[in-house]
Amino acid sequence: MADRLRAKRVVALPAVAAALAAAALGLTALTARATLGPDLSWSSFADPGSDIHALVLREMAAPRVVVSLLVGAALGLSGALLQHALRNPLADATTLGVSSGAYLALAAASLFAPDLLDRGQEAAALAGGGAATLSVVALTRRHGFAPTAVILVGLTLNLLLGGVGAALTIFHHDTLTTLFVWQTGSLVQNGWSSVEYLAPRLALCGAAAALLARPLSVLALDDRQSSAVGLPVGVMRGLAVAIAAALAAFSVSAAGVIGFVGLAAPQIARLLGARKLRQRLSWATTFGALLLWLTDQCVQRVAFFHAELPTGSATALFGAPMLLLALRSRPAGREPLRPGAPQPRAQRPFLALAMFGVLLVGAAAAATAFGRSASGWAWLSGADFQLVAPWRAPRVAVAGAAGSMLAMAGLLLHRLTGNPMASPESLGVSSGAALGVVLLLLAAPDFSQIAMTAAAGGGAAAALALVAPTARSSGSPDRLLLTGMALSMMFSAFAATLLTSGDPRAAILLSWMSGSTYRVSASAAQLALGVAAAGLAASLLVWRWLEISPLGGTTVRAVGVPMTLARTVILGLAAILTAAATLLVGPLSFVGLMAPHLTRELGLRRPLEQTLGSAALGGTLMMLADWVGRNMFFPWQAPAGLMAALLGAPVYLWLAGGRRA
Amino acid sequence: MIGAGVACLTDSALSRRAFAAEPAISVAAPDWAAAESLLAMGVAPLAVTDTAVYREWLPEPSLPLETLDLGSRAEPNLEVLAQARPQRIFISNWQISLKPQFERIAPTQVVTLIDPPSSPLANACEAMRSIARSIGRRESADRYLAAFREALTSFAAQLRGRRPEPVLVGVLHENGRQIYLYGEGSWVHEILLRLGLRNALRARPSRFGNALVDLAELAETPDARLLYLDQGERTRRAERALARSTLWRSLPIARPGRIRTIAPFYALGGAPSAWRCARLISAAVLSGPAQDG
Repeated sequence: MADRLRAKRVVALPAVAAALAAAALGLTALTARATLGPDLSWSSFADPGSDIHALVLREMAAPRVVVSLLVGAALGLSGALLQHALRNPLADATTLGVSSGAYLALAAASLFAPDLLDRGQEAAALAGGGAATLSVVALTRRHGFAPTAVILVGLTLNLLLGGVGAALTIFHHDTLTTLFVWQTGSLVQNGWSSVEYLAPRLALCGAAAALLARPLSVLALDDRQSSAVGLPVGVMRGLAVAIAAALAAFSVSAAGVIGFVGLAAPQIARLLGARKLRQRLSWATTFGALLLWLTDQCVQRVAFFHAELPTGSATALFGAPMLLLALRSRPAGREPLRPGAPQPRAQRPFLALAMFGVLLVGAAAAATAFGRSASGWAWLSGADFQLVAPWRAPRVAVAGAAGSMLAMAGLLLHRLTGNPMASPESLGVSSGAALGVVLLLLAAPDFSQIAMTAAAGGGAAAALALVAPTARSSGSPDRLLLTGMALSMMFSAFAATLLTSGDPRAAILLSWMSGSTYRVSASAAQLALGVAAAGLAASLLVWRWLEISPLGGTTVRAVGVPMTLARTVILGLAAILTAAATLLVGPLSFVGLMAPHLTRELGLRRPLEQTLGSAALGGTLMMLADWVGRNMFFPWQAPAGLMAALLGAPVYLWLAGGRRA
Repeated sequence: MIGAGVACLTDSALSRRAFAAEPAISVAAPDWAAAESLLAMGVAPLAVTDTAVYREWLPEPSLPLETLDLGSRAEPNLEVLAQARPQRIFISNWQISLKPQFERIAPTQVVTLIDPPSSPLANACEAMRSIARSIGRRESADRYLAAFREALTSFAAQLRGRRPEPVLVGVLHENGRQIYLYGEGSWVHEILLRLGLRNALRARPSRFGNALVDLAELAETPDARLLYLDQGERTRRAERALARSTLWRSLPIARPGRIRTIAPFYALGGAPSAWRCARLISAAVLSGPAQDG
């Protein structure tokens, strides 16, 4: 029986590989035929002379196939190495932020030190990828690289680097396309230079990986045992991660960010029965190459919004759902959350609350009255106040209202799930709302504010519905966060696709997505304040439920609250607050995570105190972000949501890395 | 007859004369086409968006140093604009969603250049006239546009006698694999026709009159000449990437004398940019080898 099973599996690996190769080969032949006609011979390929069609085949189509194979192989091997070294089936260059780090370094170099790119493109990519890898390692070391901690830090790093990339595009509109080419991963070739660049470097990394395979396989045992065998575990692990990061950095510098191939290829190899490390490494390399070849041939044949879909976006679009599926099949409850050491409770919580209130009002007044103008820094007075305040006040008000709403939604989700890392941003609720709006943009050429609100609300509710079942199954708070992160990744891939499609509405989308308060009117500000106030009132009505819900289902029922009703009301309220806030400041701000956390750190423990405190603190933080955005690059204005994310993501990283696993 | 160099002189002489005249009402121009049309009529706008890039791409007539910077073209700084207290604001039709905001500061006029299927060149001239009407500078506009027409006729006369040459005008993409080319729907295309040249672009251009094409497509037009805008370091990088490409080196268009850089112009600009473009293209074609037969 066991023998038959093994025999089946041994056949499965080459059989699937052959099927993938056949499909890719067929598509490649079709592409070549469609563009070049049937009468092409080998001799004209070998010596094209001045025949342009033959030249196109030799200089563009053929190297494209080879580069897709090389990059795919590199990513597959890199993923297999990372998954083994970190003992984490979800590790890969994209989920760890290595690719984003390399991309951002290249993008920044192309803007600020263009000379660098001609000579040392790989140095920039290696430095960026290396820095990202080191941050992940440093932040998760204390947890012994616990799988979920590593992924959480990596995915957040991705979001943070994506945010910085968005900031670059806002201030360098004319170079937008260049930046997106790297971000979305394009395999378009002109000549064999990329092949010449990649081949020797990848061969070197491959050889190093082959040498490491035997000592590395000991790592599969747990750390204590492998130390007993006498191997420097840390060194082995470090080397494997370094090789993987280098492979990813070379791929990014040649073809841009191509996500999820490194995640999928080793998974497929394992599913089909590759057991030993050496087997897994070589089959992951093979499947990586074949997967990317096939994907790249597919995008060449399918138009998306009248344009070719960038290969990197395509892999991300199918990769994010794969991550979700992989999460479902993981055994639950591997890392139950342990509560942190209790913070001392504030002696006089209501004095603290009063101070928060004063802070909120003071921040609102200062953000409106103080700032930069064409003649320098100034407090507004007299005639200037009359001229400027009508523009500035609504933005301050909207930032404050949105910040409060996100903070309240964050607190609701955090109390409901009993997970201190839960927030509208980390659970993908904000991304859901944003996805709703993007889909509306695609479906309807003209749309009203009401339609946009409805779309955002629908998206947020759908995301919550997707996350909620995970939240209910006890003991897997981290899986909840990973599901949310996968949703965020899917949204970014979708948005990036729209942004590269050349659609003129992309500019509107870009400014809204990054959370600009530029377009808000006085009436919108009043409405936002109204929704925030109503949300606060509703949150205060349910605070009793919040006090008991983290204790678990049974307790809630025992005190006489119908659990399903309580859950539904709280989730619904969180969805509404998130949708409204996302419409105002975009999907990416982290205020919903930061504010409840800070409130707790400052000693407010009970739901009533926390609700009021979070609302005040969230509003203050977002107004601060808006103020920084309006003044730092004056007369240019950076979006409030983006500034909040740039300030907030490091805090999130610190919390994710620093908490007790 | 006014040659290319003389046209340039006329242009700046015209501006100088106009600057000496009594200043009109104070205006702000978040739109670049409006800003350069105003400058050409001798009116310096109080405030313009992204002044740094404006000075690079629209160097003539030059923007005075004291002009206020409004920042991003997508989100002009409304606080700065309000404090400048303009009496009139000119925006582009792609900024029209912001019109209600601008109206609260001063009466706002929309300048339309790209609005298919109407002619962008006619729109650019009409935009100048309508700006002139609203600030009481009708004669300056008429004088300027008459000089522009005359210049176009004289450029065309210089090019006559050559066969109607196929020309491609565009911007090299940094990756050295693609190229943006101007086509129908842009005034660059119309200028080519007015000069008696032929636009060799075959791909269908976007709404804004340009198309992103692969190098391979240049093989379809073996007798064309390529003029590409010199955007500094970015263009250098594209050239280096092309020099390494076997495909590029074997394209007929890459033969010596068929490709040339020209100084940058702003393809969504007004009449002054169109004039600049016409002067640059005709000078570049004239200096190249004449086509046989």
